[in-house]
Amino acid sequence: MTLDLSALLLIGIGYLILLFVTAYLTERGVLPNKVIRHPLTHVLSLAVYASAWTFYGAFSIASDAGFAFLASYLGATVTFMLAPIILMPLLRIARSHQLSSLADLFAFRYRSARVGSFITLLVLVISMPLIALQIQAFSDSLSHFDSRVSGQHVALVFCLIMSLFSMLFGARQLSIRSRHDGLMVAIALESIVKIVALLAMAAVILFGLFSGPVGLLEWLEQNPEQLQRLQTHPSGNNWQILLLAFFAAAFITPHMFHLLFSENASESSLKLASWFMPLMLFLMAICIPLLLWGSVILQVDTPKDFLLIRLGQALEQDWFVIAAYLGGLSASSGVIIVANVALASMVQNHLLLPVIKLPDTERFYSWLLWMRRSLILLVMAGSYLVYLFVGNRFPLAQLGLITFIGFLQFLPGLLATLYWQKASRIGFLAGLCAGITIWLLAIVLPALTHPTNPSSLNLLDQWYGWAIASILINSILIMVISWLFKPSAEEEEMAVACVLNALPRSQSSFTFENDTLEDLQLRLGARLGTTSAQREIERALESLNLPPTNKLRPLDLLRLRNILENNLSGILGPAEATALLRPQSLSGNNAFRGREIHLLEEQLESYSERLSGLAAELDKIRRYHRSTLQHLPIGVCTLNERQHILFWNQAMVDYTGIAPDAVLGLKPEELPSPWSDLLSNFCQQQVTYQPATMLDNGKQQTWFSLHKTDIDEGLQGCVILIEDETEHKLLANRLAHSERLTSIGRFAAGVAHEIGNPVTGIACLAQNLKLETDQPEVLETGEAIVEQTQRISRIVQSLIRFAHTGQTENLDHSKSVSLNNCIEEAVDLMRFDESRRKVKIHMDIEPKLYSSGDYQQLLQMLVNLLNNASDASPEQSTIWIQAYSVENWVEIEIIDQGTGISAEHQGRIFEPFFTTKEPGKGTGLGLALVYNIITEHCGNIEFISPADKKQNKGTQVIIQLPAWTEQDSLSVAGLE
Amino acid sequence: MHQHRILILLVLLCLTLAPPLIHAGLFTGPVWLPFFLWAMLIFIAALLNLSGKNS
Repeated sequence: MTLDLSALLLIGIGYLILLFVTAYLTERGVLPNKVIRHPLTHVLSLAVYASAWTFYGAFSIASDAGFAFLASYLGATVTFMLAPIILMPLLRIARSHQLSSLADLFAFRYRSARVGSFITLLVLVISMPLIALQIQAFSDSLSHFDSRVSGQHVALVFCLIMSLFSMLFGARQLSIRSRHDGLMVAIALESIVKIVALLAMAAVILFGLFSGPVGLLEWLEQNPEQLQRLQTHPSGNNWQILLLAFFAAAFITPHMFHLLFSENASESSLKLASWFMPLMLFLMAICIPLLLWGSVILQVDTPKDFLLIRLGQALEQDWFVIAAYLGGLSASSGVIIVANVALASMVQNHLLLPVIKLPDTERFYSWLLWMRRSLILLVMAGSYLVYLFVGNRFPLAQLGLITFIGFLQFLPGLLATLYWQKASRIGFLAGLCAGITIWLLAIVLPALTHPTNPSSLNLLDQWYGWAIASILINSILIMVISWLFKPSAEEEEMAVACVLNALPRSQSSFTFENDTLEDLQLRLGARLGTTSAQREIERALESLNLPPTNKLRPLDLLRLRNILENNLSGILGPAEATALLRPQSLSGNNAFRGREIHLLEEQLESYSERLSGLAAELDKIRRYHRSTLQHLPIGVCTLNERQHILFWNQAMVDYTGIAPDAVLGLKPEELPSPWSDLLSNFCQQQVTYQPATMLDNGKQQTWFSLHKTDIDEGLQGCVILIEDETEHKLLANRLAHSERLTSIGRFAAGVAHEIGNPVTGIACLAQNLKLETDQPEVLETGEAIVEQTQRISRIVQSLIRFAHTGQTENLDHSKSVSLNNCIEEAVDLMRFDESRRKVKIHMDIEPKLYSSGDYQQLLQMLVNLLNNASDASPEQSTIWIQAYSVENWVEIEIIDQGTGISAEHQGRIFEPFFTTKEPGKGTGLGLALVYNIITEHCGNIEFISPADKKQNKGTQVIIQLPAWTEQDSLSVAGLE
Repeated sequence: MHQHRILILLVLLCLTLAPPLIHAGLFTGPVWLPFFLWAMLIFIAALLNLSGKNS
């Protein structure tokens, strides 16, 4: 064998440089994102669980206690196979509430920053021996290769390199919850090296020493005691406490918690890990017996911890030694790097930041980052000191046992967090303190004060009872003390947030009535400094697209507070962030405040896929009722007890043109006009119904009726229903107008009939005067009387015609009328009067326009309209006549350049006897007649005046008549 | 709540029964049995996860 110490060291340094380069290239984006973010990369990094204890220490346990060595592998296998009920809920809680460590979790659950500080201290004390174990494993592996190596010096250099790596790649981002891709890829690479090294070494033993599986089986048949050794029944069941300890260590140790829940953003990784991680552990575990049997053949009996190095030396194969060395280096370095990063964050958030004053400087963020890097160095230094003064006095396995039994004390509290809402802070602390005390007094102190070197299993014999007692007492105290000292309302709220399928609720049950942007700024500034506080608030406002104004709605302030808490949680830790933003305390038992409802609904929307069972059914019912309210054809607006708008359905959006996002959380008086007056006045009145009220929103007049009812159960407030009555109102007006015209028509008909007879008599007597006298004055007077009676007769005939046009049963709709002919004849009739020839007529008529009805009546209508247009038009002006078909209608437009109709007269033009002409010039019945004819023909008429808005003159008359179609002719033919 | 109680019972059951079951498998049956059972569990877990992904 040509490998010497310096070569091995160089290889080690080269390997570490490879790790640095890998991490650096990952951070620079050289590796594809698909590889970095692939769930397999994350799962491979989880193999950091197989630390030096699993890589080296497993051999000594396998040698002494056979299959008991599988405890570390099987414990973790159980953890990952139970991922859906243990790891996934923890991931959801950590993700929802920005939790990055065990201390964050317990501080959040039990609503106490002091709990976080206490947990941090405990984890730090228990983790340092674990890190020291890794240092010891690496330095001792070199010492066993070459006894000249000074383990302490090697350990020091090793610690410095690990600190550098942790600082460079584990403290790059300010937010603790940012992913450290470089770190994770490097750790994943180490896991691959570890597993491949073990498999390669086992393959060498299997195919090199035993000549394959057949050879191995033959050897085992010849040496049955080797198999029996594996199945050496350990005394008692004490190795099972080991199983439980490794079950807990798989997710409670700081490096595993950090990788599982802080560096991981997706549940798909955990799903993959639920079988891939056990597969990796399985592959590592099956190598152990093979390598152990290899050591039997090669008669390697040094401390079994470093059996792999000795095997390589016995085989005189350099690469075997290198594989063992690099595998061990990977196993140790991975844990050190991740544990350092995790512990530094915990110490910063829970021990330092709560007590020190933060500088008010623009470099606040880099100050925090450098603090974290310094803490990485400090933790490493502490672990080195533990290695120096404590670690190297114990075998690896013993040190590992002490550590893992210590971590086991957190298991009852963690299970209570996930599954038991009634666990209180006092109960949790009592149980934990009792467990840790027993661990310290019964296991740690005796080991430190009376160090012996028994086998691991003998140690277990000694410690088994105490380990069981500590767990039992821990669990019992949690239950009993929690039963005696009930959790507070805050703790209960957080307990609800932690249980499975719970909807994470932001801490929105505090009153915010007096909180403004300025208040938030002052509160943050007192802790972070003005500059940093300002920057954080600006960042949060930008992410919510809110303006930096002090007039934010209560709902927006609540959202702002939640975003600030999330952002600050990533920087300072959730406990510190919550303490910073904690407003006034709860008032009243009702944890819900009205404006929380839409926040709650927003969260329900995002969590709806994860709800199951009864929660999912209730959510379906909620969605159904909400959809019903949302799509009601009348406006629904609900207010809470403080008159803030909670709900604004689609009909309200259609009426007001205001989206729900713009009004939720506002009071009615804060709405835009005219809705503010309408709703706020109605809310203040005692009445529950307000009939159709006119609202002028600038575009048109509309009418709305309002109904109101109070909500008395649970969440108080009121519901306002708003109904659009505009159409009803317009129809009612039109009906009244039509009734008025009809009554006038009937009156006119009656008068006409009564006047007709005496007028006829007067005409006859005047005629007789001509025959009875020759006097010119008398004859002239008689002529005048006859002329006036003829005039009266014409008026009477007009009245009778007007009255008769109301009788629709006489109109025959089965005949088509050519409107082209009608218009041309009307123009000709108009031109018979010389005075009307001074205006020009311009016609633009589509061919073949037909309607149904009476030709003469339509002709009369057009003549009346053209006469009016001509009378209003100045000389040499133009009257335009346009006629065209539009879908099932024929439209006729008559546009003149006259004086137009004033606004005050426009409402009366169809009234009988209404005229603006001088007395004697018009009867006032022309347009009334036109109106009746059009109504009988099922048409519409509209006057627009002024027609020319720029010059403010002219009148445009638009007549719509139903078009005569082929179907009408066919149906008439069918009837005939 | 009912669902939580079932899950609590499941976890406690696993933690209570797993050690003696594992003990029995490791120390009383054939040497290859624990590894075989372990491999089967991994295989079933993988099947369940992969079938869940594809459905």
